[in-house]
Formats: sequence, structure tokens, C-alpha cells
Amino acid sequence: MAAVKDPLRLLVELLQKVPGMGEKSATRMAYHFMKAPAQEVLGLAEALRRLKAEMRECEECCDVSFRSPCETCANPKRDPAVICVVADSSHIKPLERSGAYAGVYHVLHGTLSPMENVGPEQLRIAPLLRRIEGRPVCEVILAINPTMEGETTMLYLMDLLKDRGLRVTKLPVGLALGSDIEYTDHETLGKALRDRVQVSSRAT
Amino acid sequence: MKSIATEAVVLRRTPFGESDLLVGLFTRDLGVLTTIAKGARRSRKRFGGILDTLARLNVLIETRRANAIPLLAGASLVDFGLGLRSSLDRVAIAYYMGELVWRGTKPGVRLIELYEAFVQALDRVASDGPMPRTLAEFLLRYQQALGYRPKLDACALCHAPLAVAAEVAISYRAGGVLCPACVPSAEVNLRLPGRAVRSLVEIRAQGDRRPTDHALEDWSAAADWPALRHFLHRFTQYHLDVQPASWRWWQRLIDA
Ligand SMILES: [Zn+2]
Ligand SMILES: [Zn+2]
Repeated sequence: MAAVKDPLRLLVELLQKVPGMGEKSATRMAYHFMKAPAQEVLGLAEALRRLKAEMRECEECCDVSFRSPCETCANPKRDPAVICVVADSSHIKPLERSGAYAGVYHVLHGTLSPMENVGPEQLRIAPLLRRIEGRPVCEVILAINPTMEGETTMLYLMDLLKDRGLRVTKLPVGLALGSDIEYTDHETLGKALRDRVQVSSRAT
Repeated sequence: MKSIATEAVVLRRTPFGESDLLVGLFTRDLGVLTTIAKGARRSRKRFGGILDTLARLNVLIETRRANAIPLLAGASLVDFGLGLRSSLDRVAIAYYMGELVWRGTKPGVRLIELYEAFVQALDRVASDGPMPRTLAEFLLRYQQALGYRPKLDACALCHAPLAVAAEVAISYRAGGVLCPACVPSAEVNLRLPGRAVRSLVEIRAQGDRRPTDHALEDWSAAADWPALRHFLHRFTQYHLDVQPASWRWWQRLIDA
């Protein structure tokens, strides 16, 4: 007969599967649950159960959502003709906080990664194309991290989206607000110089 | 504790623990090596964004107790490889070369010549260099560095010099080309045009000398590249235990 595991140890083990969770934090959290009121802990267990049972991917944007279409896609104030492509659901919130965007999103759920054999089929690229073919879209914004994997993904998408009669844009690489030129790497500075924007024209 | 300052190319990045990053490096002086960059995911103060795949860095590595992961104590940027990011083909070739280094070499074993070949190839791929020729050159130097250099100018079995022929038989197990007399007694994996084999011999003879642009054009225009690429990959593959994922990835792009 298999030995039954001590539930505290089991919980610590399971919590450690959370990305970024080390043994220390997992243990601290497990002890917190042990001391917390039963109702609170059972509420959490129920939320986890519902998470798995009720959350799905939005049929439009592939973001995880309680409803499909999700709140953003169903919002009549959002412009469905502009699609902002992100690698991960967690990137939507910071973009929303910018307050600078009123279109809709599309979540790829990852980036192309040749060494891990993550190809286009593993990402939600086909649903993006179906979306673009299904309705008038005028712009696709690629808001993907400018890492090697991110840039690879953007290259692939740029290739796929060309000749479709839509504007494809990507976020420029440059200086972060509050950063210091002295401590910025030379490649970022070079990119910022090349992509500089005009602020006034020459007097004539 | 020992500190080593060396140059390196980032090959792998894996999140580790609460805020650390495991950084797989191909270093000039220590070969391939997994290091830990403490706090690299929490704060961008120390490393900024430079610990990116295929970035070339000056690094400071601290080896601690035996069995502990060496510490990436500092890094500064030499070259971000921005040129690689100009086309999918370039990216795919760069990843493929990186993965061969990562999977095909032993951790901690210094391979300076391979390191030089690798950064030189990355530079050329990033700077509009002719990719077939660059990759062929890198693979030949890779095979040489790892001790399975294919025999191309004489029969791998009887060592008879190879006569000029329209087609040459190759056996991976025998270790290279076969003369017509040895073909019946060996397992032939593929046949290559004789001129393609001769062009490889030429590249190898040139070694590190940078070929003239004219030679580059001549060569990359050769219709033999798909066959040569297939041979160089399979021959390397024969000696590796694993199939590089980036090769399959790249082939899918070519087929698409
Ligand atoms: Zn949606
Ligand atoms: Zn022979």
C-alpha cells in the first residue's frame, strides 16, 4: 500500500510548482493556511476547483476568461478593428494601465522557441488569422517582449501578416522612463537613436 | 571561492526559484556552463535586459562549493546580436548552432577554437553574411573540435585518394567518403555531387582565413546547398545522442 503523504508536506510540494515559488515561500504559505479559518481555506479550495471547471479561453482573443467572448471582446466601446497581440495574458493588465489603448487583444500563450521546439502550432496563431480573415481589421500591434524569442515571434507574425492590406506595428525599443543614459546598454541606445522621433521641424 | 572573468554567449535561460535565472552559457574559457543569476528576474539593476539568448557578454563567474551552481556575479554587453533579428532564417541558423554547442559539448570543458568559430559564425549571420557558407564552415569546425571530422579527400576505409567523380558515396559509420572499390562493403548513407564534396574540402583548407566575397557568391549560388546541409547535419547528428529541436523547427520553416 502506498504511504499516505502528510498533507502539509504535500501542499508545500504542490505550491512549489507555482512559477517563482521557492521552498521557503511555499512553506510560509502552507503554515498560513494551516492557521487560517477553515472557511477561508475551503473558499480557496472551491475557487481553485471553479477555476479549473469554469475558466476557458475566449473564442475571440484566446485570453483566459469566465465568459466567452470575454469582457474586453464583448465591450462595445472597444475597437475590434485594432488588435494588440501579446505573448501572455499577464501582459494585458500593464497595457490596460497605460490607458493608451482602446482596441482588443489577442493572446498567443507563449513565444516561438526553436530550442524548446515551440513552433507556430503551439501558439494561438491560427485563431489570430481566422479573426483577421473573419472581419475587417485595420491594424495589428505586436506588443511582445523584445527578447530573442519575442523578436523571433514578431518576425514570424510580420511575415504571416504582410500583403493582407492591414497596418502591422510593433512597440519601439528605447529608453525606459526614469532610466539613465549612463547605465543603458549601448545596443538599446543605438536602437533608440535610430528610431528617434522628430519633435520640431527646422525653421525655414 | 574562485572568480573567472571570460567572454560568453547566452544559450539558455530558465527561471529558477523566486527571482533567479539559470543562464546557460558557452564561455570562452570554461566551455558550456549553467550559471545562476541571483535576483535577475526581480530587479533589472544588475543585469538590465542583457541576459538574452544569443547575446555576447563579458561575464564574471564565481565558482563556490563543489556541486553548487556557479554564480554569474556580473555581466556587461559585448554584442546583442541585433542583426540576427532581421530574418527568421538568421534566427533559426543561430539557434541551431547554439543548440549544437549546448547539447554536443561537455560542461566545463574549454573549447576555445569552437568558441571562436561560434562567435565568428554568429557575427557573419548577424551581418548579412552568406548563410549557407557560414553554416557549412561552422559545422565543419564544430565536427573538428569534437573529434568527428569527416574524411572528405580520401576514402574513409582504404585511404585511397579520391578521384574526381560526378558523384561520391558517403558512409557516416565509415566516417566520410568512400572510393568506388569500398562502396559494396560499406553502408552508404547518401551520395553527394563530387563538386559539392570538393567545395567542402576547399572550405576546410581555408580554415580561419576569411574567403573573398567572390568565393562566397560562387559558393552560395551553388545548387548543392540543400544536399550539403543535409549531409553536414546528418553526419553531426550521427555523433550526437539527441536530435536538435531547432533543426526540426528550421526545417518546418523551410518547408512552409
Ligand atoms: Zn476576448
Ligand atoms: Zn576505399
